[in-house]
Amino acid sequence: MKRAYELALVLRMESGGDDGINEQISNVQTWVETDELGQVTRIDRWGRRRLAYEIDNQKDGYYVIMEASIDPAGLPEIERNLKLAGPILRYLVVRSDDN
Amino acid sequence: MAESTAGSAEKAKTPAVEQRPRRRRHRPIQRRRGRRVMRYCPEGKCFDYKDVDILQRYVTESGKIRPRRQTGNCARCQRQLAREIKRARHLALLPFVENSDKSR
Repeated sequence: MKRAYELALVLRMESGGDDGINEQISNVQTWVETDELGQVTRIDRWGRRRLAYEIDNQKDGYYVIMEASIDPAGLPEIERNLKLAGPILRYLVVRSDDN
Repeated sequence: MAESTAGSAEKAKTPAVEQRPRRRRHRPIQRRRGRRVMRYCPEGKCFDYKDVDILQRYVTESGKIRPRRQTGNCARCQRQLAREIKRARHLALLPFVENSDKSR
């Protein structure tokens, strides 16, 4: 059974400009949609934003909010990919169907 | 005002006796620091980590989460507030600590 999730990503600004960021977002999308375990429903780009504190010597980050319905069975693999991705400074996966 | 001037004249003689009853009189009055405004509580979620501007109002200048006596939130909302602030901190939307002397 799929559930509604929300993925928040903070991407590194210096990862090759717009192309690098687009590539990173599509990477995450393919991770979510592997083996038909998930479906991205909405991508909200906040864009460049000042970080409240420095992460890895970065003062700015590119914020992306992604809504997706994901089978919980696919989550460990998605989280593992997010964790290992260098251009992703921070990520947050929360279930959005409950409070 | 008239009472305090009369008291100060007496205080010159016996200050300790004068101060004790005054302190006792002040104790039952509860001091409230900051505001306490009743907030409308929506059915579902009260706070969201994405609404940084709203969350910002519920942290102190140094970045601490304001206590319930100041925010006036219900227990459920305050729990959600703490959770959402912590999520926002993780994403560097809110600071963990804000140094007042270090201006960026």
